[in-house]
Parts: sequence; C-alpha cells; structure tokens
Amino acid sequence: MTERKRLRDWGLKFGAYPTGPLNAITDVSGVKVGHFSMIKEESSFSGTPKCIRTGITAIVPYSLPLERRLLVGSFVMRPGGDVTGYEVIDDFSYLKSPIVLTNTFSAGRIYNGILSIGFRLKRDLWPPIVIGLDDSYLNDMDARTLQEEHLIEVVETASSGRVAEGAVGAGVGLVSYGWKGGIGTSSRQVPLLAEVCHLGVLVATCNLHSPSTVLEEGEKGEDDGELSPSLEVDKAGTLAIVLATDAPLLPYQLKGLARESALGQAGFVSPHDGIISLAFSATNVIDNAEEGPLTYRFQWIEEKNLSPLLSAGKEVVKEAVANSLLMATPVEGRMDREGVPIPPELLKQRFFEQGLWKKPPF
Amino acid sequence: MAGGRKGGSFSYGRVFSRRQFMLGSLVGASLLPWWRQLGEKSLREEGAAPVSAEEPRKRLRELGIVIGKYSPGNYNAITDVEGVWVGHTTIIRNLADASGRERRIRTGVTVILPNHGDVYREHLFAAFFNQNGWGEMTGIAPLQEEGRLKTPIFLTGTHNVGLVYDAAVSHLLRECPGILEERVIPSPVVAECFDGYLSDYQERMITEADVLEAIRGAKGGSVEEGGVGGGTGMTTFGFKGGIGTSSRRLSRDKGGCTVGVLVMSNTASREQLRVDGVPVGKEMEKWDRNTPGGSKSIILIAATDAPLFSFQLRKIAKRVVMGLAQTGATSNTSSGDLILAFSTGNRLPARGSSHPRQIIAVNEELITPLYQATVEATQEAILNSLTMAHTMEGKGGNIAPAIPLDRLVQIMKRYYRLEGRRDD
Repeated sequence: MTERKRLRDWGLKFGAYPTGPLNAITDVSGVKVGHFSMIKEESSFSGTPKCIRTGITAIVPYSLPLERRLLVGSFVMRPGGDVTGYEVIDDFSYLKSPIVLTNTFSAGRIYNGILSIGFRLKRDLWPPIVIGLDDSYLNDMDARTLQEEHLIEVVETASSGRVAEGAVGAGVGLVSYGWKGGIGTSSRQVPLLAEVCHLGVLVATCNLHSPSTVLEEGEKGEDDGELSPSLEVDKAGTLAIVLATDAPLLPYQLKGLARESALGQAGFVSPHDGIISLAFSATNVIDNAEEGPLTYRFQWIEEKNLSPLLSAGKEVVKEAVANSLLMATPVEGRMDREGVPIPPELLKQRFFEQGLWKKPPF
Repeated sequence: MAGGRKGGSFSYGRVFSRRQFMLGSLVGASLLPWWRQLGEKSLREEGAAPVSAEEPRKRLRELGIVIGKYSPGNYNAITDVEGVWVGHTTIIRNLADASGRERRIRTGVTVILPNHGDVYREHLFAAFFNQNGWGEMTGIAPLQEEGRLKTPIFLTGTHNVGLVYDAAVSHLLRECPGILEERVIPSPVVAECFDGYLSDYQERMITEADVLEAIRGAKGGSVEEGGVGGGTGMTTFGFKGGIGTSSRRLSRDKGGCTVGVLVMSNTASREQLRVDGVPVGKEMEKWDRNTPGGSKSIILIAATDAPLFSFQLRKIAKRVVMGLAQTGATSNTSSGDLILAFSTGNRLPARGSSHPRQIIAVNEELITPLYQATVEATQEAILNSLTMAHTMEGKGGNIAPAIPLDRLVQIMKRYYRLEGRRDD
C-alpha cells in the first residue's frame, strides 16, 4: 500500500487562505469530534457471517453540560440518506444536539442514544441530528450492531485535538469515486473585518461518483491503466458536509455558507450524487433559553465582508474531500468486496485537471 | 380502554437494557462520570384504570355537527382512500419503581400503510409542508427531493422516535430482502408529538414488537380515534386529544375523488377552540378554566386517490393547514405542525423502470373542490380527535378531561348550528 498522507503533507499548497493549526474542524474552538469504528465478523442466523464495517462519527458543537442553542443553516440537494431533526434546522435554525454520522439502518438507535445522553445530563438535546449514510457496499448494514453505548463512548471521548480521517468512525464502510472513501477534515483562517475567524469542516464521502467518470463512461477502460477506479458502485451518493465557524453568522448567512460550500463542489459531485450540508456558528449562541430574557443580542456582519469566508468554504470542503480519500486505508468488506485506497497521483491529477493547481503536481 | 396492554408477555430485562442510561441516578452514582452511571432498574406493575370508559363518546357528525358541504366517504376516515390502512398499538401501564415512585405510561404508535399494506414495492407521490418546524418527521429530506413516499408513516411520542425508526428498519429489512443492493435505501417516516403531560416519557416503553403489532393490525374500514395508538398521551385544546380522522368524497361530476385526513392532535389551548366557526373554547372556559398544559404539536396526514403530483400534493398540504386554522389553532412556537400528503393515484415501481411509464395527471382546473374537501376533512378530523377521546389520568396525577359532549351540543345549539334537529 502506498503511504497515506494528508493533502498538504504531499507538499501541495492549496487554496487562498492558511489552515488552522490542526487543519481540522476542531480548530474552531469548542468543537469536538469523536469516532467509534466497528470492524468485525459476526455470526448470524443464516450461517454466513455478517461483515461489519461501520461506525459512528460525532461532532459535538459545544461543551455538553451547557444548555445551549447554536444557530445553524442547511442546504440539502438530492440526499441519498436521511437527516433527522431537519424540520427544526430548516424552520428554527437551532442546533442543540451533537451532529452524528452513522449508517442509515442504525440511525434510529443512535437517535435514541442522543435522547439518552440528554436525559442523563438533564439537558434538552432535542431534536437529535443524525445523518444516515449508506455504507452497505462494504458493510452488512442490516446487522445493525451499533448500540447506544457506542454512541455514548463516542460523545464521551470526543476531543478538540487532531481528527482521525479516512476509514474511521462512520467512514469505515464508505467508498467514493471507485476508491475507499471515508471521513475527511480541514480548516481555514479567514480575515473577517479586523479579526481572523476560523472555518472548519468535516465531510463524509459516501458512494460518490466522479463527474469525469460519468462523462467518460462510453470510453472506459481504454488507456486508464491502473488509474481507473477500482470498483463500481451503483448507489446514490451523498457528500455529507458539516461546517463550523467562530464567525458570528446569522441563520440566513449560515444557510448561505452551507449552500455555497456545497455548490462549490461541482467537480466532485456527479448527477448521481447528493449533498447534505450543515453549517453552524459557535459564537452567535443562546444559553439557557428557557429562562432567558425577552430579547437576545447577536452580532451581525454585513454580507460583503463575508465573501472571504464563503470562498474559503468552497476550498476547505474540497481539501476535506481529498483528505478523506488520501487518508483512507484498505478495507475488505462484504461479498469479498475491497475498498482500495486511491493512488495519490490520481487524485493530484484530478485536482490538476480541474485547475486547482497551477502546475502539474508530478 | 382500547388495546391497553398487560405485562404478561413482556420481558422487562430486555427492554431496560436498551434504556439503561436515562433512568434516575443510583445511590453513589455521582462518583462516576455520567456515561458510566448505568443502572438496571426494576419497575413493577400497579393496577388501575386510567381511562374512564363509561362516558359515551361520539364522532362529531354523530352529534349532528356537520362541517362543510361535501359528504364523507363510507367510514369518514382516511381509510376511505382505497388501499390506505391504519393500525394502532396503545400502551397504557401503571408502574412503580423500587422506591415506590409511580411511573405512568400513556403512549403508543399509529401506523398508516398505503397500498393495502404492500408499501415497499410501489412508491407514491407525496409532499411535505412545514407549517411550524418545532417537531420531528424523519425521512423528510429525501422525501422532499424525490417527491415520493416509500415507507409506512408512523406517529408516536417525541421520545419514541428513535425506537420506532429502528423498528421500521426491522420491518423494511424483513419485507425487502436484498435491500442492501438497492440504489437508494428508503428512510422511514416517523413523526412525533410530545406526550409528556400524561406519560412518563423518559421511560420510552415502546418496543419493536409494539410497532410490528401496529403494522400487523393495520386495516381498512373504520379507524379507532381519541387516546389510542400514537395519540394515547396527547392533549389538545385543553382536552384529551389524540388520533382523529375524517374524509370527503366528491361527487362524480366533480371527479369522484376521495381525500382523507388523519391527525395526531396535541396542540393549542382551550380558549382557542372553534367548531364550525363557533367559539366553543371561550364558551367552555366560562364553565371550567382548569385546562391541562404542555400541549404542543400536531401531525396531519392527508391521503387522496386523486392522481396528483408532488407539487400539487404540497398545495393539498397547505390546505390542511387552513383546516387546522379553522379549529382556532395558531401554531405556537413549540408546536411542531407538520403535514404530509400523498396520493395513491399513481404508483411507481420501487425498483425503478428502464422505460417511460404513463402517469395520470389531474386537470388543474378541477382541483379546487378537492382543496375545499381537504379543509373540511382536516377540521373534522381534529374535532373527532376531541369528541372521541375519553378522560385520561396519567403522569403525576395529571388529568386530561374529555370534552363534555352535552355542553358542546348545547353551545352549538345556542349558535344555531343544530337547528332543525330533534332535541334529545
């Protein structure tokens, strides 16, 4: 196997803005990430062992004992999976729950687990936000081996430090672009008026198709050689994007950030695929709303000052997607399928083709 | 009491291992971090009758109160739409924990199954409308995109959503072998209202067996209403509420279509209640101001056999809101007022199609009567949830009184809504 390094560790500078210290969503202060990976064979009633390649990834947006509401915005386009709590996000722009990624069939249990954490902490975490991803290319998703205690472990061990990427957490069973996909993260430091704000993202690349493969379907296999995708997945893809920022954005601005960051991925998402994009602000928050005053004070930043943040949103998601592929390690899954990590040269080539690098990277 | 379940066939251990985290603190547990404070806790059954079943309940129409101008279908229920089935599981239990603290469970699940129960093979056009989003209906992000309903619709208490979702996945897996190879995996539609006024909701007593029982028991024909199924613990307009349903069938010259509405009603306050334009709530407040609080949310499901597209069903969903408004509800901040409308008029193969298929569409010019029928049926469904519900006692001695039917009739007479009817 080729060495697995993040995009920047290949010596490639990417984008207009500098990264945060960790180049991860956790560069936004207060944001924590936890993973639980489950890789095992489990015997089943039918005799054939179930091949479990799945997990949980939780983004904890604030320190949990707090009674806090964050502002959130969303953009959803052709989703291949479900996102719970969507009505509240869409209509109220409030976020109280951790944002948890897991496989579609475990979404109910994980939802219930978030309620349990709320009861235990005596905090109202409703509505739970669970994004369901279809990892059934590699994972026997119908086994539903993830339980509430796994979620609790994830939330408990979530840290604001480095974030593991690739085949980890909810990314264990994910494939994309014909290669092993998974979890990726990245961050930016962006000028905002007289200050510098942070923008971080965590993505999950689930069953995505390369737009160029879609275009070239008719002439596949001619001279691609070893750079051709290692597997074909006939599933609707989802790019799950969770953006966090310490810029004091309002709900409609967060919706704009979620939308612009998603739509900036034109080169990464084919017509087969969809996007679930959420963006939250860690600074415009409401504490103890139930006994709160009649009015709150938020900060408002005029839109023209936000354009660096919006363009940073586009590049930070691209880098996170690249990291999810570059950091992925091989995973053998159900039906003898294999998720093969992408050769770094191929990814660099694709980036070059899209004009993301000025000169050929190799 | 409808379908109240006894504890005999029921294993506590299994149930509680799933919910071991949310029960109250154990002695000395505070020495441990919160995620380690696990505890099995035994509850014992206490016998009591939480429902006063003696008081007679009638549907609004049986009281002589008629909403609107169109006639209902045979059963005046959502099931008048061909192939739509409804099933309930009602969970009413009085329990006590080891320290003698009483736990009152007033919850359940209602399921709506289109296509004579065969939901997964064919999908239906559907639309969602978010009137006030402080509520949960899972599966909506993909449903809005695809404009199709792919699973049963489940109605339950707020804190049961995860467990019901999980049971819905079990049902999906059982009914659809090979689902893992499908291009898109359906997401179950599970909607909720908060039943915490009558129920010790933290206990989350619902099990997969309960959900599957509701599916197994689903049928066409008349639908049980009031404090049953998902509506068991609900209160509405300061009275006991819950499940209500109604339908309208248009005459042949207006297209002969049927629209049916089923609601899980848990919203608004007593003084807001209006019946056929009569301020019944205000009149009743003169008599009794003691109204249960904690009411929030209403889920409204509309079904029609008119072959509508998703964008037209979205218009139906908005008319459902107009019916809600006519009952006097104003969508409080914390009221999750969510509407789903689906049509059985076109059925699309779940496994896709490699050739064009014919779709039937309604002439827009002819939809107007259907809109009015929807408004009427919605209003009547919500009112049926009131008039069919029995008084219920629940959590901490909270009582949700049934709306007094004699007084309702009296008030309607005073406003000349029951003229020409024999006085009884």
